[in-house]
Amino acid sequence: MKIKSLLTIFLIAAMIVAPSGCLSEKSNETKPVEITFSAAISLSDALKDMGTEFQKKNPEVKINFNFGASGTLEKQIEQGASVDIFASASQLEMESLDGKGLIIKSTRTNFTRNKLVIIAPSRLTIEELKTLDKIAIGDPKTVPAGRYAQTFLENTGFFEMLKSKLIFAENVRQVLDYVERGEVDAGFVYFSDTLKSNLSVSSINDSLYPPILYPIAIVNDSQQPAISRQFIDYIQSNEGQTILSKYGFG
Amino acid sequence: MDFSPLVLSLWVSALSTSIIALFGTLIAYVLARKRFFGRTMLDAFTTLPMILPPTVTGYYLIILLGKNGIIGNHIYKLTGWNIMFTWQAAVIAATVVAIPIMIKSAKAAIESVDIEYEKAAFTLGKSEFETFFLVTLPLAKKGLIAGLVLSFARALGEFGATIMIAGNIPGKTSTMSLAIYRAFQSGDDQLATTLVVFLTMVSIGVIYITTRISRTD
Repeated sequence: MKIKSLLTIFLIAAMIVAPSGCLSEKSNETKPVEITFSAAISLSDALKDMGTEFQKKNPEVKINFNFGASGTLEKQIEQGASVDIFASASQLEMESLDGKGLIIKSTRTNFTRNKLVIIAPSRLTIEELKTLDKIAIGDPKTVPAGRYAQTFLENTGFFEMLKSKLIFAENVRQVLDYVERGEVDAGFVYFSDTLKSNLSVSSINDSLYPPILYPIAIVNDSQQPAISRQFIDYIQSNEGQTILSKYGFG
Repeated sequence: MDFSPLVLSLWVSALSTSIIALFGTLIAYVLARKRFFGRTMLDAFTTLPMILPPTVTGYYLIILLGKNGIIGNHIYKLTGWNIMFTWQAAVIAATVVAIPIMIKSAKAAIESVDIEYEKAAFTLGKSEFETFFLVTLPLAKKGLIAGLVLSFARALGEFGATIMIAGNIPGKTSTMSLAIYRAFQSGDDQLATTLVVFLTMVSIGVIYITTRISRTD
């Protein structure tokens, strides 16, 4: 009984407070123009930086980022998530949305590139991967970095041999996290992911996997195509590209 | 269709339910019948995984059992075995998350057994061990079985802690709940639907069994 009445009081209080809270927020001058940007998680640091710079110049704009594996983000858009801009780490996801008519074709463009590397506590060669116990890659079904890694391993002929050692991660940053915490012995990540890490980076032959080009496009049912266009232009501007190269892209 | 998530889930749930049957009942008995310093603490501690978000439980398990974890680093140094990303990790996650349900249910069942019966057994020269198996256990049977069935269901549905310490490795640690998530994310709606229907049927079955048990007097 006591719990019930407490609950009732709490609910009533919540009903009174919640809407007034929302109202007071809205009444504060002009409300910002919000755009939602779903982007490959490898872009997170660079894009957050660009977002901050862009919002300084355009104080009325608020960019909400949604970072994740490109495949996961693609599915969210397919299922009707309200997203304004989509940037993926491979052409496959963009192609699939394009094929379903979910992006504005004319806005699709490639804006940066990346490289695949091996990250581990010490530098190693491809042959040395055989001696390891656990190797993390992104889940090839949803994570482009994992797909690139799989292609690379297939092209070098090591895939079958290493298959049982592979640990699939939900996105490329999780691969990095697994290696940093020592839960796996090595992982395949992008060069741009390694800049903040103290681990050793071993480069691999980039002719053995497809070129990593990041496409970007405005989503078809974007409510803010004009602002979205502006931000894409900013990313492609000299300033945007300088920020990207600072984070290891290009 | 790949049946490995189904087989793995049943195996993981069955194994964790067995562990729960043993330790859950033991802890419940201690909590119900013993008075000692720290009893309330033990009660609260064993309830915690039921209240905490499974991801928090998973995080604690990583801190404990990860390669550099408080216990995990010793296991690794001694045996060279890292429990992370193995099916055994999935069993641990399912056990930890589901055991509070058994403890709660079994504790209530054991407390409801009239202690006079146990005392009578003691005066007739039976040891506590014998009394437990010959008197307490049969009288608390209903609550214990209900607790086990519910624990099994909870273990079968475990997601958050599992994905954190066991990962989501197809054929190795991808249990049904995880396979649903992976299938849904990668657009394999047919597989997702099949697994969803199966898990729903199992859950309905569990509810049916537990209500039947509580009805039969």
